Amino acid sequence: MQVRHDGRFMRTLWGVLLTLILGAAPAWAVLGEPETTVNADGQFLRGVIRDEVHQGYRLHQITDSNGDVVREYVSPAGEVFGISWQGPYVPSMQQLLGSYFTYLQQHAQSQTTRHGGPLNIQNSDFVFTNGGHMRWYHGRAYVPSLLPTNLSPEVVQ
Amino acid sequence: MRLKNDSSATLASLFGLIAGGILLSSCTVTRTGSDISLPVISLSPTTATVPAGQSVQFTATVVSSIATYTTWAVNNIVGGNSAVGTVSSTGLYTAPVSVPSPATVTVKCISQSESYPYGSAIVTITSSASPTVAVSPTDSSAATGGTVQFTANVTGIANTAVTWYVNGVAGGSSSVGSITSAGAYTAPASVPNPPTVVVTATSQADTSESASTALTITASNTVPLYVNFGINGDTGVSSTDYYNGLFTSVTICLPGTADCQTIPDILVDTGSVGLRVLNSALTTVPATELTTVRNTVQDQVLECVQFGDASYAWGPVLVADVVIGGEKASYLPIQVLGDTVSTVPAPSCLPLGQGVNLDTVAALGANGILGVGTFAQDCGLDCAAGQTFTPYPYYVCPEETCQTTALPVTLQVSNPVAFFPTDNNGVEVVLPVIPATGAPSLPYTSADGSSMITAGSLIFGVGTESNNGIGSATIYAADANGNFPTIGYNGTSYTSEGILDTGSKALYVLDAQTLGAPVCFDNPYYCPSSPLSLVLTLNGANGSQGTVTLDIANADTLFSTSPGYAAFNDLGGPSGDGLSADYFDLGVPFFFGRGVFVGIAGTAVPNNATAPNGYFAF
Repeated sequence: MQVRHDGRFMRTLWGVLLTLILGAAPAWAVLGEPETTVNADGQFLRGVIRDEVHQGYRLHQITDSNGDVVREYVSPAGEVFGISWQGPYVPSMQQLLGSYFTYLQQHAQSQTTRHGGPLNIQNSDFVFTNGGHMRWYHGRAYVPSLLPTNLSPEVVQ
Repeated sequence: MRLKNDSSATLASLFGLIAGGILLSSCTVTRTGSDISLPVISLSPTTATVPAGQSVQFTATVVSSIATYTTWAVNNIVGGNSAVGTVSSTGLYTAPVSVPSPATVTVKCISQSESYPYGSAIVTITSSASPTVAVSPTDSSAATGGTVQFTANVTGIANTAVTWYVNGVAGGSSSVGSITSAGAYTAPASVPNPPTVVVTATSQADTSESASTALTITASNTVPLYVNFGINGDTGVSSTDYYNGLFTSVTICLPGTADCQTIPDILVDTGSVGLRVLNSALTTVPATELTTVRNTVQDQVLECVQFGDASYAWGPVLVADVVIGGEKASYLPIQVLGDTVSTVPAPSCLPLGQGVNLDTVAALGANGILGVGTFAQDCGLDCAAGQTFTPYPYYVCPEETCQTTALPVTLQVSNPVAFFPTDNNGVEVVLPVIPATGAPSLPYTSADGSSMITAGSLIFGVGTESNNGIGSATIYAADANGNFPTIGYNGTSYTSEGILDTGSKALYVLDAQTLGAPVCFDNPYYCPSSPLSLVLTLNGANGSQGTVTLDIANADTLFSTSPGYAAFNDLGGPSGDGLSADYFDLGVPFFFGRGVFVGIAGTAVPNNATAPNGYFAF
């Protein structure tokens, strides 16, 4: 019984720790949001952020301890127009996509069977793809309307 | 005719006097009630073959209501003689030293009752004094590790004992198989070279007499692979039909017991790791009787796995013995789907959103998934260390609230192949060539028998048996993620990586714009105006490089030209949509006409190649 009691205590403590970690991240999202949210993502992913300036856009690359890489593409207007991810795990799309996560939920509800292939969503204001396999995932998303002029969506790598 | 007891005794005495002092013997007498009738005598055996000079024992049974005396005779000569053979007072017949003419004699046990009723047997005397030995079954086969019961039939001698040999070695050996004194043969663990051995039974009474038969050891490291629409069949809707479904059967046993159930229609998936089975498929071996996996505080562990298409598998981790073909992984952690009332912990497990729950045949399209990818476990050290990431797989759900839990590698859902006693370093997937217009299924035989397509093979082990040598195949080492690190197409090196994945229906490559072909209107596959040939350069992490040419046909044309067909080697689809340089997920179409090896990380790699993270080879 004593062991069982200890187990309950451990679980309670664990739940508190999770709350603290999650609590460090703001509830707002990234895609389509101002650039300042990138730092929030860095906290959420507990990763190292590297900033790059490219012609026509800025790139913030977050690498976490698990080997996951998240790249966030920022327009000259200061808005995040694209995101990509690659690594053993999939970051929380709810966190990265914010309001655009609704498109994933809608897509999921339209499915009834396993496909086994990649997950693709394309419409006029949101483009999303995710592929890979157990222990490795890869994907990206962008908002066509936020894409800087003279930039191809292929910059989102 | 009825006689009185006293008169029969008189007759017997009289016969004895007539016999003139020759020894009279009594056969076995069974009295039957008080009803008086003539004795009925029968001999056993009723026929016999005896080499000259050898003996055979006869037994006479006399059914009589009265006392009777009997005597033994050969060809009506009481006691026989040296020309026809002799018979003793106990029924032991000894053939003459040379074959008489004729070679057949009659042995009788005669009653001295009225009319002298008798029982008789026919004896054939043969010239050979040697016994004969015959062995059955002949020209048989056995799977490695399997058993065969042999029988030796020894005739012509009383001592029928034999000594059993395999390839001339009494009792056999571990390399050619062992055999007991009772003829129970156990095949060796691996196929010997040559694969056919000789089993011999030698008479212990006459070691010059023996019989032999051939026995071929077949590989137990192979199971057939079927391609069809899966358990849900052809729905007639191209957007949801399970084209190129690759299936086999798996046997699940209560751990450490012979209580087993063979489950068909298990999807074979080189793109995932571990066995996942629907709870609804576990009938004679119910999930409730499998051993539960628990964490350090003894809470039962459940797993949540999200696949790349956002579908997910949710259910408990249980321990079973898993038998595939002749191979067995004992005490293997597997996942059972659709067997929990706990709500899936979506925030940490389903980062892609809550897609299809693969908890029914309708959703999964199979009874389970057999993941035989490049890893030994589905998570590895990150879960053993209890790191936090999404999608996190392992949970405990006390009081219905699920929390992540660390889980040692040994308790994680594991690739069954890695835990076979032998042939455990990987698999080879072999699928036959099929026409560009597809095949109804694998295997397939046309109604008139004029065309036939064989099933495929899933062969366990790489370079461990005579049937799984890697030969001159190119070994492409996987990177740390289990992928080809780069793939080249049309002058561009794509760093988005790629995999050979039997869990995918199509060649998922590039996007419509890059390929220059649209996606079909009513299904998720490519619809080029004419068939395309795609040349890809595959690069291994070990520096190896090779090119493959893959065909992509118009899916609408395929489906309308070949209605009801499940197998297509030229079905393609976009891995991205509107974005270039996406992942290369080369599904089942890649595998037709090839033998593709998938090596497990951490195992010995053939040909001195460097591939610590596993490899693909073809």
